[in-house]
Amino acid sequence: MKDLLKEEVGHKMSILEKLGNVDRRVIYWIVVFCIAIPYIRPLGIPISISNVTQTAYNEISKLNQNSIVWFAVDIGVGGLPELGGGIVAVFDHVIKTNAKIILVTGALEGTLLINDILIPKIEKETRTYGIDYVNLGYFSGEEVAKTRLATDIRSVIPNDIYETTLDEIPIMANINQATDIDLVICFDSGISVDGYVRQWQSRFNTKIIGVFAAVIVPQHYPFFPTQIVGMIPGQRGCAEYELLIGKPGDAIKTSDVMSVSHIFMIFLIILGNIQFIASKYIKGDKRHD
Amino acid sequence: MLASFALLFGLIGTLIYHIKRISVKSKQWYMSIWVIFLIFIMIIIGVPYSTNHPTYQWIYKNWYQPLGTTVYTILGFYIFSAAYRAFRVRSLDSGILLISAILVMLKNVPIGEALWTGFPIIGTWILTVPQLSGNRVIYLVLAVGMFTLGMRIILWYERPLERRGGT
Repeated sequence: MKDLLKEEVGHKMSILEKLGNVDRRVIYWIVVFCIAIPYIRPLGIPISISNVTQTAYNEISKLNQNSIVWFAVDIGVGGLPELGGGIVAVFDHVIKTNAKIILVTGALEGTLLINDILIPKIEKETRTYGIDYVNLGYFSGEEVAKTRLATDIRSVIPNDIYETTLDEIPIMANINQATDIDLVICFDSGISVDGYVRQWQSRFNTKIIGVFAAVIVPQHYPFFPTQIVGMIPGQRGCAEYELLIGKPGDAIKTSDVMSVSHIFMIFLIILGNIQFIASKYIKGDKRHD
Repeated sequence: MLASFALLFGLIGTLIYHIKRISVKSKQWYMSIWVIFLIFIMIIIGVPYSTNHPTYQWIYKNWYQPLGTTVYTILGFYIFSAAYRAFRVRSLDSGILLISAILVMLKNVPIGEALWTGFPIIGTWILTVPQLSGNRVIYLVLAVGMFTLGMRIILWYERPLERRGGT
């Protein structure tokens, strides 16, 4: 009898051990299918609009041809798969409002993203460089630079990306500090927006909208809705924004991929824990024998 | 300043490492030649002609951008594997963390709402009530801590730059 019990426990353990030692390549392949299948054949899961994205949309809708938007692309290529759709959607919306746009970045790769994604987009519209928009390129110095920018933009960025001094650019004629900016839209996957909150919003009450990678959304909730008037949280928020402006793009296309892969992740977490708890329980039983 | 010097030291360190690899012909040493070649290509084009040069832009768009996004995306695969092997309920705290994580994940993806309309409500509550209050406490404590440390340094109670046992 005791031998039979031991055999049964051993059999259970071998199944659990196998479950615990699943080759990671098996998991990787399932992930590949979880990504590829919904991308090729979208499931069309409905997306509802969250409060934070709606407030961001409402704030941008208030802009008009006299508004000045500080469009800060503070992400690198790493953030592009998640926020790429959002950058395009928000930029499209801002262009539609006819607001004047100052393109700028505090991230090393930001200039390249601006040149690669945003400039070709705005060049297709009937907007003139220097009058309707300007590309100030990269500025270094993070929050210290933002402190200076808040009171004197020219002291940090004396010329645009084409080496033209700001005084020669018509759009910059009456702009030299945070109070001249109507709205800051910051794309962020780290802590870049914190500098704008502390140095621009707290001191000069500048309105800020944050488009954040999902991983940093929780840490920015304390700022919403007082210091950050609108948030577009991660890939989901970008998909919501594409829906709001009526231009389905990359974010909506990949939202089903996110759904399926997240469900698989939850399944893995639960399965891993079942294996962990069961093997602990059976080991406990074995000790009692 | 620090970042610029870190970049320079990083460049020197990388070069030393790869030159050593080439000189001792270690495994896949030819990849080190490729790395050094790429570093110098970017420097030769980027420094004198700026990052707006068409060739620099072409390299960025066709080499760096796909590789950069790929490297970032590969992390996703590791997270899946780690979720299966490492995210274990070993205590009550980790259990609460796990349940909260699952609920927030279901809030963040459209399928969560499609499965049950309560998921976004619960997920939003977690983010805006317990998470928010926890984060605010961290911010407040950080601010008070920094102020206290600043005052201690100003009042000469803290001497971080002084040599141990110095005058």
